[in-house]
Amino acid sequence: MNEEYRPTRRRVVALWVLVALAGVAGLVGLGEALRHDHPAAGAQTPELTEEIDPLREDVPCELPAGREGAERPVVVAAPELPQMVTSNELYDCPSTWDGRRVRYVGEVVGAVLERRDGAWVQLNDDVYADGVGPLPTHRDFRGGNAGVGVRLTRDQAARIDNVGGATQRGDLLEVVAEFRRVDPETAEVAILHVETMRILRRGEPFEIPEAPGRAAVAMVAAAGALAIVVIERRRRER
Amino acid sequence: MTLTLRPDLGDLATIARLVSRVVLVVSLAMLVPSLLGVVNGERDAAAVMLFGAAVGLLLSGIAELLLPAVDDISWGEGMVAAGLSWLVAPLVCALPLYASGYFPTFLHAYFDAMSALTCAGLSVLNDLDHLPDSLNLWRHLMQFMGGQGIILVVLTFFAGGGGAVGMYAGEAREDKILPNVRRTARFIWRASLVYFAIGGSALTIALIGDGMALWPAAFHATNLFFAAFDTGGFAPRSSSVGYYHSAAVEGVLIVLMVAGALSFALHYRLWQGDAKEMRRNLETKVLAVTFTLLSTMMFAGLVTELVHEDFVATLRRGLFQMVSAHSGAGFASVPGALFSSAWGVLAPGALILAMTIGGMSGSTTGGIKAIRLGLVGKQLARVARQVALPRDAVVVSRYHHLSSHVLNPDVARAATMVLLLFGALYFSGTAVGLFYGYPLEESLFESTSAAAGVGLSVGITSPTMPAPLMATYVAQMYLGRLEFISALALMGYIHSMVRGTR
Repeated sequence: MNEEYRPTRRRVVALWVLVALAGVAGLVGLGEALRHDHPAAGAQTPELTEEIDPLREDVPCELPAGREGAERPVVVAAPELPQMVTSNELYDCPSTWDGRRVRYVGEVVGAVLERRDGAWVQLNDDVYADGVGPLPTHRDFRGGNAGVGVRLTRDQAARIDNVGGATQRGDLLEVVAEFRRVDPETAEVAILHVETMRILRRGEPFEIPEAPGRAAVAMVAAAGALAIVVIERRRRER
Repeated sequence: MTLTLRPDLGDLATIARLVSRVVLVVSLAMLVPSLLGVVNGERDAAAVMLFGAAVGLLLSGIAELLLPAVDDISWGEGMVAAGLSWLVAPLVCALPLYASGYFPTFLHAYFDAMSALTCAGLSVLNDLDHLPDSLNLWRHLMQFMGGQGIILVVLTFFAGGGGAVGMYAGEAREDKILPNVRRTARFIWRASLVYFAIGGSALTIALIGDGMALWPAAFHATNLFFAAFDTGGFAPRSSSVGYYHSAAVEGVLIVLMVAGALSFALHYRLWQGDAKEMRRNLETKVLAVTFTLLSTMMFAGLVTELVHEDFVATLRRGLFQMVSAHSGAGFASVPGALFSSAWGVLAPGALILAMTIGGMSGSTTGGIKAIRLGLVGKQLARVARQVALPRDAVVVSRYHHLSSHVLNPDVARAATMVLLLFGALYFSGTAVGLFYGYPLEESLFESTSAAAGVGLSVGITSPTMPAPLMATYVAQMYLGRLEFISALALMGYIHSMVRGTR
């Protein structure tokens, strides 16, 4: 404690707390103002050009409901086609799906990791892959990323031209594959070993909506910060 | 400073000045990803990072101008400043995240910033796989700063005095490796940079060998190093380490996680060529025992549940996940949902227990810490021996932790208190999870992961989780990282401001 004790009055403390809260609110408001100017949902999401049938083999899962209580659709059997699955379904019931042929649709994200005897890609089937499109092209925040690691042959991997990233949508693939809880060839876990694949939609760069004033505000704030630093330095030198 | 008197203006100004220095340091760090954004052509991301940096610099600059110079800091002021800094720093760090448009609300951005700085590694980011590199780097850089200690970062640049020790201890660091805190801080940085040079290079080589091009490999390696050595657990991709499908990457990460779980004091001894310390240290012994027991428990669970049906897969996944949980890193080499859907009960139970313990004190890990577990165990053994001997017999218990100590009952009591507080913290988060309808095992897993700063998830932590549960996890991460003490000091300080006698 300082030698000269000057207790802070409660009113002063309350005032400073209010100032601090107002400051935080102001900062959050400024952050909000700098966010992209765009519609509430992804207007840029292109329609799929090919119909994907809802598929066909009734596979019971030992779990009664999906993640967070989401209902599992019951599908009608049609044995000639493998069933369409999502990554959540595979992860929720890995034993059930183990060794089964399934159909799966997802966007290639990240990179194609080529190995001597094949290649790995991550296929995401969340809404940002094939629904409302990647952030920040919209403000439709529905869950996080979800996807499956997929094992391809090098020839199949060579057909992939675009991988998803910060400014690019990846190719949207439909694969018919065997789900392997443990892949005996690579010891990888919960993966799809692809038999056939087709490209439903080629990836392309996406336009990030305008964020009006973002660069200008950043520059003004930076100039202000620089000015403060200079003033403070000069004061210290004096 | 006393907590029964209302603090005076000088105390408040000192604390504000100290906090502003923390803000200054995290703001300067934002310039790194901003620069990367410029180089990468990520104009928007570079602009938000510059914006965040500028706002932080403005705030700290104004504080420097308006507040009197700090000449003498008391231990208590240092503690309170540490407690407050760990609330304010995530606020500033979250600003560019929120402005970037990748988070739906500021609470989401604050959650990720708190998670990064506390090295928890849980994330509610919606679309990580389309995130610009510069923002991705910022997430990992926050983990690096948080793991090293944001106060430690400040102390590296600013001299301290008594208050420096208070701030240093306030972020749950007690070990003074070298005679003063500043030199200790510099040693920690030096050690970290050496590990970065070695670990980063090894990861880059492994990633290139696994099919990645040079630049992305270097980028991923840098981020993975930050997250592994500082036991943070973020990864550049949403599928965590499983994304790479690489035993080599997992192997290097295991080494880095173990290095992160060792205290810097032990690193110092090892660097000095004192390998004996490794064998004699109480923490090393505790970790060896808990790791062996819990690994056995987990492998038993994996084998009986026939999780992998393959020895290599079982060993590889099991070892990686156990190191990840015990070190508090929180990387996942399998999809997190499998912990609840395929791993049975025993294996996730072993992971939960490993998460509660964490690594060594004075390391980058969270959780109860091995030293406390060891001290409580020693005290129990001492009491048991005492009971078996005549009433007048005096039982002395000794332990070795950097030097030889006689077990002091006060030290054992303090360790027990923190252990109990951690237990309460784990259960409080579990209760809130249960309140929102999540199953017991999953609630316990996730709550422990948040409070111990681990980051493994069975899927409860997601952008769509209830906001009060998200806020609960934020509080758990904060309290767990600071190991309660400076947070309690801050609460006491606030209480004295409101209820103080003068």
